[in-house]
Amino acid sequence: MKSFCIETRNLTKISDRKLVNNINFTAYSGEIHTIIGSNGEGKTVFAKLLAGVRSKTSGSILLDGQKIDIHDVRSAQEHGIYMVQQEQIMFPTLSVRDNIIAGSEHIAGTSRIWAPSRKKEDQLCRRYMDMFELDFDLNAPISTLTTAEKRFIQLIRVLIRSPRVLILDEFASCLTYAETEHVFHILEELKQQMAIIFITHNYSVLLRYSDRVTIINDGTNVASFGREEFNEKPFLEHVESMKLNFTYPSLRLSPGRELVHVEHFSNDLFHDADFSLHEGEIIGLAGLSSLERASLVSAITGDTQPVSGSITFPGCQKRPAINVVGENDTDMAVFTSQTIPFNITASNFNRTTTFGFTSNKKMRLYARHYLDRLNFRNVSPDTKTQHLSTGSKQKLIIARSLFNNSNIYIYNEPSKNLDAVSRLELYNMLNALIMEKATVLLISSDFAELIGMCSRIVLMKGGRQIANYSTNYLSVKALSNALE
Amino acid sequence: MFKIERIRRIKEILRDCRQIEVTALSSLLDVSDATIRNDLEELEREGFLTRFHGGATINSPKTEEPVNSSGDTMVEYDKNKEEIGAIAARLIREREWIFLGPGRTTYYIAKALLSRSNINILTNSFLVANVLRNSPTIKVMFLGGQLEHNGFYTVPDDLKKELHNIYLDKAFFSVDGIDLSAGYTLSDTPVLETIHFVKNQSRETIMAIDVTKFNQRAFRKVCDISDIKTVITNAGIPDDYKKYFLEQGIYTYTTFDLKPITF
Repeated sequence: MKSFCIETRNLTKISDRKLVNNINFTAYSGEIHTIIGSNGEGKTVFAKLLAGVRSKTSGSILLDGQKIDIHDVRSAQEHGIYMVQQEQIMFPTLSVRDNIIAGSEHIAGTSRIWAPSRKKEDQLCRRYMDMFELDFDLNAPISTLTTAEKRFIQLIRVLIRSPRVLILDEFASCLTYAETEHVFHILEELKQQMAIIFITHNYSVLLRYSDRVTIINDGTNVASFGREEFNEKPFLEHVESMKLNFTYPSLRLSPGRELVHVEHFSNDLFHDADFSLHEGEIIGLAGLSSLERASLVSAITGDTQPVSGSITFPGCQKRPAINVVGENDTDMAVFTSQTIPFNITASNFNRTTTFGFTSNKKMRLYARHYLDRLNFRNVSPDTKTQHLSTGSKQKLIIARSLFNNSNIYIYNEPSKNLDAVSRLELYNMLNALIMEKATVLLISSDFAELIGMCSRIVLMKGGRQIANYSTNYLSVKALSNALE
Repeated sequence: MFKIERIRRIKEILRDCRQIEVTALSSLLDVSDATIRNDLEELEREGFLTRFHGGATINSPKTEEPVNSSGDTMVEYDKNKEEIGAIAARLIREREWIFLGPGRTTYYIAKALLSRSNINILTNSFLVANVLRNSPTIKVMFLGGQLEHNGFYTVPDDLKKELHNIYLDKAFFSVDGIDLSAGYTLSDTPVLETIHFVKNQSRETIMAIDVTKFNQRAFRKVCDISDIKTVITNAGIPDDYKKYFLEQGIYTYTTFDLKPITF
């Protein structure tokens, strides 16, 4: 296939401020081009401009030297530019097959009038699933798949459209090392037919797989390097500033009264989990797979029942509000079609009523209050919810919980998609929450994070609780040894 | 609600929103526009706010009345410093020997320690000593010397001799400015000496510095930012400082006020 390139010249996007600043960028077919940078917003907005999800303010996008007009997703797709976004968006009630084929029926079948036959659809799906060595029942509801499996389906959904330019935004953040290797193995084969643009924070992913790297910071193209330059000083200097040995703002408070009691809890995935959450504590939970994490969260929120044992909330007649933050949960919880004031006050509309109707003025007052308190940057009550960064969306959910005076928080892998500064804010916010007598259950696979922020860590292995250590004399090495 | 309560609510709302329209206040507090206008007139006479057509803006903090319950009218109320004080107090453990330097931020640290016990404080700040006199469970050692009127602290004659054989667990200081190129800076030379000597005798030195000091440069340099391993400040500081702190491996605490509020 003839090689081509996609290029941007002076691409700029200004909304409330300069999000993308005069970016000149070139990516070639046959290459995996990684975009990396510490500030999350610039990179994703740039990618969205290429994919038509957001419209540019000025500058041009060229495909093989020819200027092309990209003003919406459809026009981008007509030129073969497709993007797999950070958020996992599926049709939750449809089957695996329907999720792959939806919108692409004309590719599965030959007719433009009649829907393709089930056989043809299956053939198409199987072809790509075999490429990924996946074996799902195509009739199964998409909800039965794990997060990682859904990620693959997201990719397949785009691949069946034979993209020329494939943009992946933080694709590997919820995948294990082995799964990431697998994906890149396939991308290596696919890249001959397309240009692949990969956005990440993860330095090691960058090193292993990229042919070319562009560093975008605060919406500006800082530098570009080819693979041959990876061992040289200029590149290494740039990257050093991103490889941070994180200093955690540890705060240890004396625990107050018990808020959550997990007593000899067992279900199909867990066996005899037993721990407590008190006011003023951050308790860590390590050694869970993504399925186990989801199962525990739904057991605590009461969506599923334990098979034996119990999860009780001492001192409360009925189940108190449990706030879940992080990973998929934030994306699921944010009402993207509603305003920010709505999102914040949604937990307790009663507080915003005058004469029995919700008052926009009150909602805005509360919104402005929380936007200020939680240090949202460049966000006003009028900002569109869908334009918020990952870190801001997390804060939005926290504002919603604070509005409802809740005090039980479950943080589920919250720092995976955050850059260093946002992580610092997250940790300091955890401290602020426990100072207000909340309790936090921090579920994470980052041992340094757990030891840095938690007063105790509960260790699970294969769903069995194997330890409940205080973090006073615990080291990362000891933790990883215990979980071997 | 009564007028006193209403006035109090108006002040609370303005402290948060900085500026608000008469119509917003009247619907929030469920009274007529005319009533609100009267209240605003009164508050303007008091010096709390400035009215404009259709609303009012809160006046800058200099004209706010101090809200110190213990009767300390010497220190103006400063929310940022109060939040820093709360976090700093949580970092102090029983039986530790703590040095609190001069300044209003350390006053708030002392204030936050009032209910604690079994802590030993060494200080040369009058503000600190004054607030801690009400706390019999905290041992306070006051370093005497020449009285510095402006900053309300003393300058010992021979710091080296005073601090000889004294070992501290933590020392908290505040300065006048922090700047990425100039480092930590302050204007009062005697405080500079205090910091240098105490730093050497203390296991940990912690800078308690509020958001208004960032990107400010005062007369004399104390040290580089990278020389102090822990910083307590407010959440609103510029991102490039947060990045710098992380790059240098500095423990950075930023305060958030998450207390519940009702409008």
